[in-house]
Amino acid sequence: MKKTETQVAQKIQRPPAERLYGDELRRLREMDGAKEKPPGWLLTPLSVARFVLGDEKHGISPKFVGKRNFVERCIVALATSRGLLLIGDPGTAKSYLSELFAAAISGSSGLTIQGSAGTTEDSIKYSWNYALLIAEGPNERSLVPAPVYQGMKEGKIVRFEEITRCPLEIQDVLLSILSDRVMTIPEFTGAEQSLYARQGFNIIATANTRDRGTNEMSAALKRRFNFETVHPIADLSEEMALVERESARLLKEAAIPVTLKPPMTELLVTTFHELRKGKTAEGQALESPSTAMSAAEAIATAFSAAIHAHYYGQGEVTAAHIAEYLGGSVLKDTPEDLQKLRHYFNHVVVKKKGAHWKDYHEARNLLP
Amino acid sequence: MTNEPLWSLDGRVTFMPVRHHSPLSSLVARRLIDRLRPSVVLIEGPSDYNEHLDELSLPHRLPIAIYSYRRDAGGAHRGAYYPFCIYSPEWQALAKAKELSMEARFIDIPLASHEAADMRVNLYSDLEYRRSSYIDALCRELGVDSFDALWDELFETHRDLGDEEYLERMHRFCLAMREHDGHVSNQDTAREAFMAGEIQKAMAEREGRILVITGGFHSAALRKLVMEGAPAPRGNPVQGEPWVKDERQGAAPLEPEAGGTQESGIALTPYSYERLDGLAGYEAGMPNPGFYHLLWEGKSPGEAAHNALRLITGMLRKRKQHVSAAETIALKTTALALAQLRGHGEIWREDLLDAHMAVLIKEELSPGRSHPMLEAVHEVLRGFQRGALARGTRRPPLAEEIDRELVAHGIDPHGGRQEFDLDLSPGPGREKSALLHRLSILSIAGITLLQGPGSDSPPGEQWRIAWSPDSAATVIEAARYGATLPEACSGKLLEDAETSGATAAGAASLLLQAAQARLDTLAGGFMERLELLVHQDSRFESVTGALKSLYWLYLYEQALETAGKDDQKRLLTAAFERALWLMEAPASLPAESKALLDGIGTLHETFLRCEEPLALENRAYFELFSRIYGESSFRPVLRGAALGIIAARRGREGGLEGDFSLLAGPERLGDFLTGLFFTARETVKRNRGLLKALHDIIAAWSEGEFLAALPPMRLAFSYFTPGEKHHMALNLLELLGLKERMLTFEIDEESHLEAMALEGRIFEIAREFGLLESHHE
Repeated sequence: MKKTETQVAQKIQRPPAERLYGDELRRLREMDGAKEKPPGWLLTPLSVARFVLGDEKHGISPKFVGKRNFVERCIVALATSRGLLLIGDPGTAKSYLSELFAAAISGSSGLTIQGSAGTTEDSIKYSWNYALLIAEGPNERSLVPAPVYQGMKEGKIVRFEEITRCPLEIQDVLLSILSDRVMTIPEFTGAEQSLYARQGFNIIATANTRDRGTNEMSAALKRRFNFETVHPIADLSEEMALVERESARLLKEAAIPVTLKPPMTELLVTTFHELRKGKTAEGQALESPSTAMSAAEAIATAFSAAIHAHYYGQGEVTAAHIAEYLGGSVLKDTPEDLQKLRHYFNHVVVKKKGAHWKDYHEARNLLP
Repeated sequence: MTNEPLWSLDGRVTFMPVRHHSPLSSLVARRLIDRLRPSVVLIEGPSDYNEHLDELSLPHRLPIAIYSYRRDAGGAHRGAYYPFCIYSPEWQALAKAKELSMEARFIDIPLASHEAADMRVNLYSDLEYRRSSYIDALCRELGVDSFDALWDELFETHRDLGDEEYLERMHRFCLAMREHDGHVSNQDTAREAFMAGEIQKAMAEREGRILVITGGFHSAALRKLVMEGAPAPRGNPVQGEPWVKDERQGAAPLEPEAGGTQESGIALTPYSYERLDGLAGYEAGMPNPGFYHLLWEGKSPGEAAHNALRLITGMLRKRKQHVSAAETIALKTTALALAQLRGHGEIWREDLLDAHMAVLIKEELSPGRSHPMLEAVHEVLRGFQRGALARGTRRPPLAEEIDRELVAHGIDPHGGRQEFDLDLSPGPGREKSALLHRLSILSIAGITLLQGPGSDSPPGEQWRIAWSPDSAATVIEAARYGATLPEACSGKLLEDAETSGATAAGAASLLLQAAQARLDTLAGGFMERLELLVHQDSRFESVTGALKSLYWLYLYEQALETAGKDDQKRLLTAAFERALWLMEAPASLPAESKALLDGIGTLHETFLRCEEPLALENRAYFELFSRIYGESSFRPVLRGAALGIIAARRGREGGLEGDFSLLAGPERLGDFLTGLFFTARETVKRNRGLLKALHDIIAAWSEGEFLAALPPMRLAFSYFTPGEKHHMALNLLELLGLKERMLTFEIDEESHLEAMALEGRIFEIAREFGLLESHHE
């Protein structure tokens, strides 16, 4: 049997989007043919939207659950050469979305800067190979390019993860790059001194507002970005389907023959969904914990509960397993969150109907 | 003729399907009338209004609506609107016909002869489209999120669509939808049968061509009925039945011949773009009427978009939101790029909305919450037009009703300024009060409640009436809330709930207003909204405030004639449960002890009075307070109050003393006792064991500790009267075995006076030597 690209990709722990969905991207490129594209783009804006949201007719899998209008706004921001800032709670697939955009538009999602308190200008623009610098002086060979340098030179999308984790002055390095689309390299002489961005270059940054230890963003930089809020999945059944699908995938990869039965998924996802929204399905308002309660976190909780059930239990995930691991995913920030979780059990879980909810309520003493 | 396609222009009768409030449909309707020159234009609209058609050509300010109403023998009131704005196809068809001096007539069934139970209120809404599964599928296929976007995509953006193309596309679209869904309501069946009858009648009565303009949903069905020659529906009320026109110039309530069991009428009433805006909810028309208004007035969509952009920027700047020139440029580019991506020739409605969202918002948006920038955008796209009726129009039904009601209650509005007292016990006073409350809900100028009911019994009110030209104007303005008093009041209260009643307490006070106005026909949405607010409010203070109003309503249900109203009881229960719920959520509690205790007081009083009638959960209630009392992280005052409630239930000698010795540190005892005494004053007063325990705790304190604890302790004991404090002291002395050692003096009046004089002198000397500072130390 001929190995497809997807099968090869599976040997890597986490293949990038452009490899994982290489076939789809190729097909979309063929479909676009000679249609007019924004300069420097590999796909038309329409195909980029199709790639992200999926298109049954053309065999493109859906990759992101969200509103079409939102995706279109993101694409237009990139096409009109405004920076794109994806903002929202942790675990809402911001990074994944930026990876998909980069893969679709530039064919590579690898030009990525991971923002942190320790990010320096070097890791954004360029640094030097000092041995070569001393031997040959500043030239193309002794310069070590960082993602923005590369992106400008090759006309590609650069991803800047968690931009607000960087100190303000480091974020502001992007100011002239975003507005004038030029990077000055004072060490070079003559025309070499200015690196003009090729068509197709742009920046997708992500930021989340909930985490501690993030910095403000200067008004000047804000003006250069279009802000798009990535919302958590609004529909409970869609989220349940996602958690069921993803936890099954993780369990399969870990070779654990346990699955999460639908009533257990319901317990888990309903708890996450209601606590995150601060509202129960019956319309009561709740206090949300300070942690994000994201779908990603729900998947991780399901995964842990299943592993526990497999190695230490009877091989079936019970309400008690869920309750036990829930504490770990909610209690990350302040002890008050525990009180909110207990409140949820005392007032919401107790009123829900069904044997599984009853078991769940019984298991409340397993909360930390 | 039956072999011709539905969209043929060659037949004698041409069926033109429209979407109500669609500018494109309006354009085509005008062109078709010009082109076909029909002998009569038949329009979906109330046929009982035909005799007043001339009234529509008065110089009204749009939007306005035809309002048709009836009151059944049982007193149930029903009404229906046919709203028109400048770009409504029905309106434009009427205007064009008038221009060409052609006859135009409405053909829809009169409300008065219509018995369907699933009656709709806005007969030009797009309900059929919104609940169609065919539309859902089509949206997915075309990659749009809603029916409104789909409509724009398929029709409205194609401004150059020719008549034939329009007819074919629209007929196919509506036919597919109707066949796919297969559901037609009873109301629609009845209306279609009636309309078909009217078309047949017109065919029989006159020569020449006929143009039938109706909602697209009905077109195919009408043609089928007409072609099959279905008989006109039974009991055609336009002929044969005894509808008599009221002679006087006014809202012509039509009276049936004998019995007088039914009352009905039809008249114009002002409308507003707010009510028309699809975003405002159920049964509205197309969203963003302001945009379509600009579209109708402008030469092209590009011009409309440009004007909208200009208006929005102006609006934002007026509200001190900075929009730079660079941002204006970015807005335009983004909107253009979105339009291009979506295949629109020029910037369209959703492109505008999305461009503002992309460019102006510089922070995270929380789902379900609005943003001031976006609000401005929505307001401009909603449009600001409010309708007004031209001089010479019959007055709206509401104005007539108000006049009638005032006279019926013996109030002559033109009788100058008057003040009077009303007795609220059953009788004419109470009804008069209800009427005046209704008028003040509608903000009718010149009606003032000077004084509400106090503790005097029987309860009474004092009112002032000073009618002015303003009053007459406000009466007509109020007509946009509804065509009858109860309906208009409900509409106004609902609007208040949207704007100012964002808290449970505010909303409950609206309910109280409604009860005072005896509005028993409150729209279902009102109670739902209140319930939602009660469920969503996260402030204990506000929820207990609401509980207080609801409890008040419950107590006075006899006087307010709301007895036996299940939804109010349900709401009271909901507020009660919500307050319990919030008690365990520390962030929702007020920081101030007094507000907290007041809330708990309301809660407990409600529990004591309503536990049985409302079947409140006794066990859960006390379990909650046990949990609070047992949880050290709660504030001492809350824990004290919790203990008080538990103790009051346990009864007099509940062994309270053992309960709090563990948490009675000097820094907390005062607050704790404040809570305890608040909820269990009676229990505590008689509980000797508690006194002893308190004494033991305090006796063990050092001087410094005692002084630190003193101020809150004094506050706690202020719940008792001096007499009670005296008895408590006596009890304590007895417990400590000191009572026998107390000396009892028999003092005569003379010695008492002497002692007082001596005391006065001592204080005076002390003050002289600077030992006392003021007179009362």
